[in-house]
Amino acid sequence: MASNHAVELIARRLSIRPEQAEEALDRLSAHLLRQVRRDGHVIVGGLGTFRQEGDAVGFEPAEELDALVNADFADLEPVTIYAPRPAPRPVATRHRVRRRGRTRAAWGLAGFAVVLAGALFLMREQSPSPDFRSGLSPAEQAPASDEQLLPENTAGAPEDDGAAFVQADGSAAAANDPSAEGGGDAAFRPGPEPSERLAIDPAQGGYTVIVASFRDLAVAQSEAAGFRALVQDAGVPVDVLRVVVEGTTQYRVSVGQEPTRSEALALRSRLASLPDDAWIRRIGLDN
Amino acid sequence: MAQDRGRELLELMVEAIGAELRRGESAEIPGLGTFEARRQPSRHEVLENGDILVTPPRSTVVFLSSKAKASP
Repeated sequence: MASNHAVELIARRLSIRPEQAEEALDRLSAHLLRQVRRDGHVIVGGLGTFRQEGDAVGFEPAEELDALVNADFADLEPVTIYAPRPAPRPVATRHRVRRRGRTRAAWGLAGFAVVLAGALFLMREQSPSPDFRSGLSPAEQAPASDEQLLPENTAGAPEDDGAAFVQADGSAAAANDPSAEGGGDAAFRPGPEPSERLAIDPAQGGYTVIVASFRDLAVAQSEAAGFRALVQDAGVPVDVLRVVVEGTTQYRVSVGQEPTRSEALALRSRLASLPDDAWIRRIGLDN
Repeated sequence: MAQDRGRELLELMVEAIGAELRRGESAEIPGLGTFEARRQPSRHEVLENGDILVTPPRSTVVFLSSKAKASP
């Protein structure tokens, strides 16, 4: 007989020779077949059911044996591969268009912001050489203690060393200004619709934020108009205040009129459009 | 006593058949027949809607009785 692993395994387990195991299995098989012929079927636990099928003997494996031989495939489940189907184009297209639109809007906003920033930068750079940006003299930045911002028609104002107040639109002519006395300074001509603008009232005193300083009144007024547009939503007055510092007339673009210095500082902080180096000055002579 | 030995032999036979089939070998029991594990490869079935159902492979136990084997 050829090598039979089943017989050899049984022989080893029973500690008998393979021939003896073969004979024992032969007798067991004959017994099973007799039972199948007699009863029609025999159930062997863990193996299966033998049935008499005509002259032959059929066999149906038990679940245990079936699971044993299929142990390698125990975790495999049938898989369905779905056939390609047309995508729901309208929905997909709408999403794509929406996403593309958002991207374009973002780039558009970024481009607009860059252009706006550039335009503002150029506008400020092209302003005619304000003394404020070119660097004020120490005397201008920190004037002598007796230097004040003067209302133009304050009684008893000094003629030479004092300061005079000039409304941005020049509505209050500067009687103390030598150049105005001749009546030929166009910068002092009244501007349009002065009543619509908030004005700094020098009689009330207080503190203001100086955002620029010029020797030329026209330039100062132009700059004031620009700042007026920037802070128009804040409802604060923007004017040009004239001061005389060491014999030189300066026209200061002033924003706001606050009763105290701390409130003026708060105003400067609140108005983001004001330059960082804007400084606080007291308004009027007698304070 | 002989009945216990017969039951033990039967259990050993079942164990030996399972071990051989698990190894992918056939198990021949003298006087009875041969047990084989026949491998059925995975099948691809195309459904009506075009989907493909893939069935995993499996093994089926086949018994060939000695008598049938002897008389093809």
